[in-house]
Amino acid sequence: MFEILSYIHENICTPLRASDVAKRFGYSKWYFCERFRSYTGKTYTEYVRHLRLRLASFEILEGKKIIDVASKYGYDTPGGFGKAFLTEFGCLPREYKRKAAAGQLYYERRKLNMFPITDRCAILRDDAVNTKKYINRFAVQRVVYFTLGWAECEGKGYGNPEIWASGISGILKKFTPVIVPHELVVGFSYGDGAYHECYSPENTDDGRELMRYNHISEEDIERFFAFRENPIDVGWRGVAPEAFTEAETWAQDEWTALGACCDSNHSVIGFEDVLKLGLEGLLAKVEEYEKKNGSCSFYNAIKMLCRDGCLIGDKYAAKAKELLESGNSEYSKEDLEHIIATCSRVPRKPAETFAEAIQSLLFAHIISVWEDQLNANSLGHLDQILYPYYRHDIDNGIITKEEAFELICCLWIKLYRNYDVQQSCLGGIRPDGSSMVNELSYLMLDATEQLEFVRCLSVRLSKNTEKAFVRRALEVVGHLQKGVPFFFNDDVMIPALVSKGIRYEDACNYTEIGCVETVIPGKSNPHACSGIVNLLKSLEFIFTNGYSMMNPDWKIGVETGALDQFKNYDEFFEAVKCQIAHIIELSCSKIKKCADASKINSPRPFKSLLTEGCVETATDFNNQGALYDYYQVSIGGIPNLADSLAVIRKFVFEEKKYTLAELKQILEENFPDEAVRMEFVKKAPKYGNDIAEVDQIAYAITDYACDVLDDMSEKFGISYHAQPFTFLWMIPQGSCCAASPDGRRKGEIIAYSVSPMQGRDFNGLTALMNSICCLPTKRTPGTTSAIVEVDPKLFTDSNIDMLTDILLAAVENGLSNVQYNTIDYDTLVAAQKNPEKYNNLAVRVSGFSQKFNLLSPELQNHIIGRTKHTCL
Amino acid sequence: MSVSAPITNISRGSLHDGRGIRTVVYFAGCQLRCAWCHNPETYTAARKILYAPIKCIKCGRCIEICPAQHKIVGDDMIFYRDGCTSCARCADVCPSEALSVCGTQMSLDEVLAEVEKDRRYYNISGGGVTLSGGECLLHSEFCRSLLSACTEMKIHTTIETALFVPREAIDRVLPYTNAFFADLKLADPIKHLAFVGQDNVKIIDNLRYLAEVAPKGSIVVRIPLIPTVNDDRAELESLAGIIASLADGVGEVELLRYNPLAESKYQIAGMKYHAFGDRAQRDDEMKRAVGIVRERLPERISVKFR
Repeated sequence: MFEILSYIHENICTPLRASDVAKRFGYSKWYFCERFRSYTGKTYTEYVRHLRLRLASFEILEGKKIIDVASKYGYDTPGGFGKAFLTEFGCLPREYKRKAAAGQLYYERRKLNMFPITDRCAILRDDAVNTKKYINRFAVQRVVYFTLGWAECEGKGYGNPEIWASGISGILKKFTPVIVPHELVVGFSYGDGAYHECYSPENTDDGRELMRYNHISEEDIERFFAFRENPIDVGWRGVAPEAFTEAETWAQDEWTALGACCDSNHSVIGFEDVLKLGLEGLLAKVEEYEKKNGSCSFYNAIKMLCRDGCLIGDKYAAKAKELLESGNSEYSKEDLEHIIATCSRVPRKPAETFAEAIQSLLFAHIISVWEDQLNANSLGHLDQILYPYYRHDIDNGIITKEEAFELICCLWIKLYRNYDVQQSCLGGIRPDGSSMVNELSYLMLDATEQLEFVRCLSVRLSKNTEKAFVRRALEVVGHLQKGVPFFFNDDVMIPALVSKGIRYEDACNYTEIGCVETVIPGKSNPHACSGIVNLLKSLEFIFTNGYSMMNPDWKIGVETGALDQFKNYDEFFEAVKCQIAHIIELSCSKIKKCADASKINSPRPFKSLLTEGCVETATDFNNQGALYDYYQVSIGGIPNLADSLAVIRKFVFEEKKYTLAELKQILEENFPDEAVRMEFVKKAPKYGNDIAEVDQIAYAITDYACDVLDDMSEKFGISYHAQPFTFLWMIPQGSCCAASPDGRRKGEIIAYSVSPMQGRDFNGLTALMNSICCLPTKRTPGTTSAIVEVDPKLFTDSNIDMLTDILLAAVENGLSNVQYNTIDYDTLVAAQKNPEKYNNLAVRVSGFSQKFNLLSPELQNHIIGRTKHTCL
Repeated sequence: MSVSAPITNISRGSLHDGRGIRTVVYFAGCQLRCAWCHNPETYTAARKILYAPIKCIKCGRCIEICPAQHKIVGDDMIFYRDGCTSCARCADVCPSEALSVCGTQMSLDEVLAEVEKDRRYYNISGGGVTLSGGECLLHSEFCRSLLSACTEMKIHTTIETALFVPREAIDRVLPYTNAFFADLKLADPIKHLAFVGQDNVKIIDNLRYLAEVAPKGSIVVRIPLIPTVNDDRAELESLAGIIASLADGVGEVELLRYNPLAESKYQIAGMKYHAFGDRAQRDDEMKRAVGIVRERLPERISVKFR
């Protein structure tokens, strides 16, 4: 199909009848048209007309005569051309030109300035999006070779770090390098979200067949199953975490206070070190420290990875050489030579060019994926990491800007093939307050827009960020309609990090991983989402004096006394605080118990190599070796709790319309009278509308939760970071919650992070932003996440200026994180009804975008229910 | 000096009612009765009860509390307005907001507090407050206090008016108003009387006056384009003729599309609705009208549509 499209593109100025094209490629006309439509989503005629008019419009903007352009694209009369043009663009060519001159067609003009995706990238993109060729390919290799590498440790007297490194080396030594035709940047991590489905091949015919299909030799298959069935003791010492108390377990079962130690898959390693020193340079550095601190398993493990890590480049270079010699016509000679030149240098040697830097970075990322298994490890500040190499190449005439753009596209396509929350970050400010936005930042936004798929791209903003850049980023949001990029505010994130003891200069370098978890690249172990608490539950425990309303036998909360003893709202709020403190303590205590076990259970030699503090002190990344070691605790239920408390304050304590006992009965019976529920929903102020009395409650709750986390840090001796973010847990958290006074029925979903409860913000975008900004965002370094629903029609050229203004004003006002969702209500409802017609519809779900069709009906309804902010 | 005025709504984050990001304050009360009005609930300054059957959960709380007894909602969900004194007790108890009060009296301080909330957005975008309605200038004393307070706070001020008001009302707000939207519907006074309920002599007179005294280019003349009423060439040409003869206070003419979706508003206000077509004009129709108006106007006046 691709050849057909390129044929059409090349011959667009000729008549191009469908039957002729079909014949040329040996299809019947009917079959051709059907295939064409299912492939492109447009009929042949539509496609050709659309393409012609697009190209024509560009030429008109370039200043060519309208009549010439019309005849060039096969329109005999200016009238016919004008009519077609009108249908396509809503105006006549002449007006189009005038509007463009007046700047109204800013987007069209910019599109002209933007580099188009090259044919190479179009093919690769198509391959990545439409074919599943490589998706699960070789995922099994990772499992099998890791196990075999592990098995090799028998009798060597290795410590845990060496055994783990030996597993990774097993993959590095044996994996099959794959080079796709047209690729400039190579390397696969072999596995995506479906990776764990292939986690353990069974010892059956199917399992063996799968392994053979994945190029695993018979000998290795036998060794793998032999080891699996009769594991040899290789000397691995694992420890079980300390047992949880009863209350801790129940709190876990009810999604009230979860706690674990997230020790893998959420971090950003120090890519700069690999680029600057190469793995050989790093090895020398490690050896120096080893001399100083003495030899140990930890250093041996790291050295093993420094050496074997070089293999990844070698093997790809060898593969390219093999392809070159085989004379395979699918591959171009220049591409292969480029790959050979690049891969025989990196990651072994320091990167010297932009291409080498990108390649080295991707290889380092892949090794960290192999070390962590399924992962959300991210790339970090790409526009900063790569800029020196870009500048060097441009200044020395090694590459052109356009070639750099192509390389970025290649990297983007690579990342798309793998797991989908590998985030990159652009922009931000330096310690001196100046903006870090550079040419690469813009090129990366362009690549994101042109490729139309990279799901995770964040942009850091500050009051010092160039307005043009903010505008450009919002344009991408508007044009892509996929919720990327999303925005973080340096002006609150940096102080929040500093308040947790992170050096100002390091805080300025923060980036985001996965969804919205904050990390100092190459310097920290963030233990993302180690704790997950649901503050809404605290209310339930007050009504039942510590017991769960969902499971009345379970006592998860603390006793705050009988209901009739609360004389006023303040006393009631004190009880809420007691319960909040208790819930958070449950979560933190569990984190502590798990953290102690993970020090031994989860060595991460490769991450240790690329994280400041580990090599220097001979301490593993997961043994608190990182310069900054902290545990993020997700705090959910804030909007619902705030709304509920506002209802209680108004109806119970101010108007005295209901007593607490009556309210308890209403909640236990799950709102028998709909009128009462509506009254609670409509007649009390709701968070998200810039109403001070309820926004202040939300502030007070969050602020108090931060206080508690500070206390817990002291009590347990590890640093806890507050992160008001719910990921997708608002569903299980909601399903474990009894009816709440804000009018939420039993089991219903709770609000996402700090976005208002869906459908309850009605006061406009500015009011919503003010509410979100009122939270103590400078105390929550884990980011206070919010998704704002905006009508896609709002993203017109003239409105984007104002949306930029709204965003910048919110940044000044203390916004922490905002993500835009830009799909209108009708589209979502239609997509729910006819999923097959909306295969490419992506929405912002949580800290990530996802295809709407892949979501559960419950999540779909949640998203449909969020208020869409439209133009007024 | 009046310190309160009936306000039907304060809407924030508006992007289309003047420059920048704006807060629009809607006043109740208007002496015109444009047949196509899409804010009919703002006709009277008096408090009014609105009823939206679609939101009603038939709980019956309103029937229990109504002093006029059994005059409110029956099973057939009709709001019987006979004997309704707009005491608003029903709206107070209505849990689902199916019943609501339109035109609550708000004090100057209350309105100002709401307006001030978005100052940050005004500052960055050059936006501010827009007074609309109804006819805001029927409460010119209140408007003046509000606008002067805003001017003191360096908030940009805009007034949206149909200009069917006494000349003094204009003079009162003039010193504190940065920009105007002035409605102009029909050039023909008889047709005007028929469709708007008043003739247009006073309106055009006021517009002429405003164009002389207002700062240069500060007035946008808005023409709502109503199918079959004023969208023919002759009518548009006469309207353009009037605008062309105005002083240089006028800087722009904006043609507005017909809004076919106002029916529900008439329904909740218990009023009869008359449709002038079932759709808004297409871009090409709007452009044709813009073309006609454009021809007759001097260069300094730009013509747009929305």
